[in-house]
Amino acid sequence: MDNSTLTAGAAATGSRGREEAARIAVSVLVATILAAQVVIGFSYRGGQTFPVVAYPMYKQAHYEGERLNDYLVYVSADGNEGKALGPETMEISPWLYQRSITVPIIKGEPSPLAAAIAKEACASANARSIAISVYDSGYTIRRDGPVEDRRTLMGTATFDCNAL
Amino acid sequence: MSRAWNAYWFTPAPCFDLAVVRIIACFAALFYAWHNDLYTVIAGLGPMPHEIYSPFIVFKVLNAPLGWGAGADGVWAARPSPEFVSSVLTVFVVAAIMGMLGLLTNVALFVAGLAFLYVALYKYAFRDFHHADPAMIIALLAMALSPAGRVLSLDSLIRNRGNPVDPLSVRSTFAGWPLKLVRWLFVFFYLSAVFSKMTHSGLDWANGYTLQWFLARAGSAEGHVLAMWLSHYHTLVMLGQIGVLLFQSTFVLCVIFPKLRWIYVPVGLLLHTTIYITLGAPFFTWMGLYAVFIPWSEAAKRLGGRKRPRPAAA
Repeated sequence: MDNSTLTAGAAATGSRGREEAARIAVSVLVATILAAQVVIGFSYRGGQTFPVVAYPMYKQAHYEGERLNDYLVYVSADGNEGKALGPETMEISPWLYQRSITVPIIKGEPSPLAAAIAKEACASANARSIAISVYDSGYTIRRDGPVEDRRTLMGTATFDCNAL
Repeated sequence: MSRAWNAYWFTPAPCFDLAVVRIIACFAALFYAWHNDLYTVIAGLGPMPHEIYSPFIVFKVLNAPLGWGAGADGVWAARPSPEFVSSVLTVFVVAAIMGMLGLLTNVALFVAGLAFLYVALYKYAFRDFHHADPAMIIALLAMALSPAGRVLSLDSLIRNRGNPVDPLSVRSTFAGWPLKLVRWLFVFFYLSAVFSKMTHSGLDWANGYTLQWFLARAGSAEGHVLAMWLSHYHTLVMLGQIGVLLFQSTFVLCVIFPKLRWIYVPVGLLLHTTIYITLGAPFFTWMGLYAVFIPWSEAAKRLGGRKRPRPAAA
């Protein structure tokens, strides 16, 4: 056997070794990702494990007679008539709008985003107090489709401009 | 067991299939970023009150070099400026274009995946959580560890200067696993979706009113005219819901029996297109990644009227 044959043989062995190591590394990676997706996909609802997450979109069943929950905010200065303030006007996503403004107000929880809206309204209207009211869409689901009714007041948060 | 595992994941596969998926995936990710107007979204999140900034652990770790600060949950979490996140988005755009063209392919795909992950996590830190991003992030990072730029790439043009190689003839032991990984992820995504519906609502979920409710809400809140129109047809909507459950719970069949992809892939594309048109959920990343189910090299050979090559030795 000459030197070149030995070198070629060694190179082939080295290449096979590297390929085997790569296979093991990829196998560990694939098995980990799939196992994590199975475990998290069927158990954990949060996002802390992102990008491996569960997919619970649209999981909630709804029934005839339920009202839609797309809420709309009305901002009123010093008891005057409220002005509608939707997510498009605020240039934020509908999800952020609902989760960070309307839902906390309905639940009576503090909403930093609502406080920021109130602060801006205080300055622009030169008001003493700002009321942010949340109304539902007024739609109820029936077999033949949604039926429109009056909007229902779901909750109100009042802000004292001097305290903001 | 080990032999079966290796045979499944590491049978030499056409690099052409992987390359086509790379191009489509990068394009889909770029389209998603453009469609969702991510620069505007990022700028809009900048002035948000710090109290609602609640980043996930991965985002906290990624931001550790930026410094320290308290998040809404009281745990340390630096908050990057919107300008910084916008620049990361620009890095993503450049890397995705490079990945699509196949220039410094592996590095470009890795950077694109990481930057996409960073931008997604920034949005989610403000509770703006969606499910369209994870599949693409995992796919980009997986392809970064594969011979995704072996053919149909500027890299291959540069590498084979003066000695052109038929892209359909190149096979690799590592060309199949990213595609198979994404196929199985789709199976588990859909099963997770069915599982959530069944454990949360049971079979009541497919009562027709559920989807009528979601459609009417999309129509009323976001002005989706088609959704509002469709919400008036109870029986049709209920049949659609049953179809969704059947599709999601049996999707695994098209991975086990590949011939069924010719049913599941068109149905899946139709499903996601309908969801986009009616409910406004933009799953373009998933639609792009459906490319993993298509045998692109076989299709190209048939279109080119070639004979099928003998399978290469493992």
